Amino acid sequence: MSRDALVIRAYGALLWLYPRQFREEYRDDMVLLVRDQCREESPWRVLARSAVDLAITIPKQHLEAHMRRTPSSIVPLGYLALSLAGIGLMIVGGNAVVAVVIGFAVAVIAAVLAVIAWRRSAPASEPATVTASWWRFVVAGPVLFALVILGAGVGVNAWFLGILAVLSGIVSIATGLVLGVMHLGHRIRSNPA
Amino acid sequence: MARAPKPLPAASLYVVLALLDGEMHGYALMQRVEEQSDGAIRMGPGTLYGTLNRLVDDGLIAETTDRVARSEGERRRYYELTGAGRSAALAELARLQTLVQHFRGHLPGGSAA
Repeated sequence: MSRDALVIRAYGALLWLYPRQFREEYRDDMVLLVRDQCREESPWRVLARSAVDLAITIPKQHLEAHMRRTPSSIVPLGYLALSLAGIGLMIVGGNAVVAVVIGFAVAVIAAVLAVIAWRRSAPASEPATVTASWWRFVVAGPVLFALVILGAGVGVNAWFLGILAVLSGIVSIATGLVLGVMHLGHRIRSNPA
Repeated sequence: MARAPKPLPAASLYVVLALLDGEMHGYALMQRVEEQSDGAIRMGPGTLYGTLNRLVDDGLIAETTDRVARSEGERRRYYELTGAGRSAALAELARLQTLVQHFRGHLPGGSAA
């Protein structure tokens, strides 16, 4: 095997380190380009220079591929489940203040992350910011409280659901307030004047 | 006051400027960029095709031949500027010209404006 062929084969093998989509799109062109270079200068010099290029561009292409990835709906669902687990901990905790506080913190943080992840998984055509719906969460809290009061008023005897609704209302209001603060920060950064 | 478009990264700038001369394939582009920069910029294949990929995504360049068989059985892709790409290249030239005019006085033999 000639030196040129060896270098081209080695370079072609190294191209497997690129993300699949980039590799499938440009592999043949890149190999062809290295072959052209080998015709005009020492193949070892070409390989050495190409190795430096590979070391720089492979991580870069992986980062770009990661940034372009299609967001999964599993992530927001995971955060939602974590938030519900936090509410569950608040219920199970009963009189244990530490358990209630931890459960509340987990529920609020996971709910905020679920909202952000859910908005990120939406089509990119929506120009609205991730936190623009903060007020809906704030409004949802009192609505849940009103439903609990209404249910108790008409004689619905489901205390467990009532507690769950009240705690969800508190988590919703807290989530809305956190998102609201984030939204305000985003607006201030966007319009510094 | 309308904000000026962001300057192109160096690699993208050299590629769009090279394509002002007409369509080119990868290797010709690489040589052209090296020539334009007096040998200072020598793009590797990864840098070149990463840049071309981004410029195609941004709509500044387009492929003119999609893997058409050429001499020696090679399949080469050629690239050319789109309308937006030509405007971007000319805007970059104007920006560089303004920059040079602004600092001309600091050049050897130049007089301050």
